[in-house]
Amino acid sequence: MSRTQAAPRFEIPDPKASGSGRGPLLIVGAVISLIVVAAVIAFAVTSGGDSSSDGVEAGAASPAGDLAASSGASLGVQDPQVAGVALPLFETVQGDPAVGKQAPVATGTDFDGNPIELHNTGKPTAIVFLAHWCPHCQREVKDLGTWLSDGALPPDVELLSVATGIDPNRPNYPPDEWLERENWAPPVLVDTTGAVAEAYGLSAFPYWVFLNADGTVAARATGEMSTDVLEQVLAGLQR
Amino acid sequence: MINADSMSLFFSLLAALADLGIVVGVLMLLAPRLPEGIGRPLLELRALVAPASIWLAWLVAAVATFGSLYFSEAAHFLPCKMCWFQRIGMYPLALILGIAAFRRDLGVRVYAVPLAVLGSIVSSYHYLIEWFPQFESGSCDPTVPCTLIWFRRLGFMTLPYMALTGFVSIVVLLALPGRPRDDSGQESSSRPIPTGENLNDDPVPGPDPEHQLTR
Repeated sequence: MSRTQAAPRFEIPDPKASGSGRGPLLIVGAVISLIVVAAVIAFAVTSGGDSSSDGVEAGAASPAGDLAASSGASLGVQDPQVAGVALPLFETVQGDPAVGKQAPVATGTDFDGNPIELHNTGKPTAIVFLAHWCPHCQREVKDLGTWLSDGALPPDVELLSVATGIDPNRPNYPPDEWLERENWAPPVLVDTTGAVAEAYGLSAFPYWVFLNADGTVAARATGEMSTDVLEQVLAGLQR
Repeated sequence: MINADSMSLFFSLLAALADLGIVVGVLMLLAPRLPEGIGRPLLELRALVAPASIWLAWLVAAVATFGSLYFSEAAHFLPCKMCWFQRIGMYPLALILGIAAFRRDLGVRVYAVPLAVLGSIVSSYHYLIEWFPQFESGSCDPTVPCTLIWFRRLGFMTLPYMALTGFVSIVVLLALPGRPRDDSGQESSSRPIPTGENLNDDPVPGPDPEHQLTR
């Protein structure tokens, strides 16, 4: 067993040659000093002024994973009201128990305070639920924007949107600035409390609910939807 | 003032430091194949750092664990599913590398390197889907999708990036001491299983001397 002290174990210069047993200690000490320097720099930079320092895209904390952690006050709009029976939580497209059920009616406002009602038009309706911090919603809004500006939405179909999952501590807040930046044309119901999303059984973002002209659910879906599929679904809604 | 803003900058600086360390560490590992003028000082540096490598690897794991707990418990950034898999890789390292450093037991590499390699694979994937969310799925979990980016410092420093840096720097650090060899030059990784007699001789086995770092 004593042979371990004899031969160098590594194909590198003998560590003992580079000084006493203090070598490792010095290295660890140097690294710890660097960590302290980094801490000093970080706190000095961020405490100098209240500026959100350069390069940061997102903010601080989110207390919980609620659908909406914010109050409506921060966006200056009223909380929405929901009437009717809530739809079950969405799980799969195949055999969705919500199909054929009457969708609840939600009333609220858009970002400017104008009243918005989900599905009262007597027309087939597509409702898309969007969260400002969700990268898939951000892509969906971009794709749909192009599709809409090409005039591809059938004239006898209503497209409504719901801004939900609103959280001032998450990226890309506030949602109204995001949608304005994307030139989002459809009406937006501001779901300040998350109650509308819950009543429609939202389980992921983005979330689609398709209604027939009589207000019954024709289909529900989660995730980015290609405009090809969207056109097929819209064509199949009962007029 | 300690807040999520200052802490994210602090850990970004540490990650940048560790990135630099990874580059130097990889150069140290390649040193024998480099020209004499560069290779020689790198080998000398490696000889200096190698005896401290387990302590340094432990330091990385401990700081990463602390950062992870700070961001979830103090800053309330909710850990997503993939964050949890990376935690499963990192948290045990903070413990076993500490014990191994104390015992000067290089044999810990057999246990630590797989954890760190698996962790770095998860981190890489997590970092990839932050840039390309479509690789994961078409939708966001309503509470905490893995594509949700809590902060992105300096344009690229996100939490999975830091985790990746932590895992890779641990692997590089643990590689620095090189392969332990016995006198005949054979790798000593396959040792005979001790018999009961041997155990009686040595009731409290210390760290494998073949794997011990030079004091």
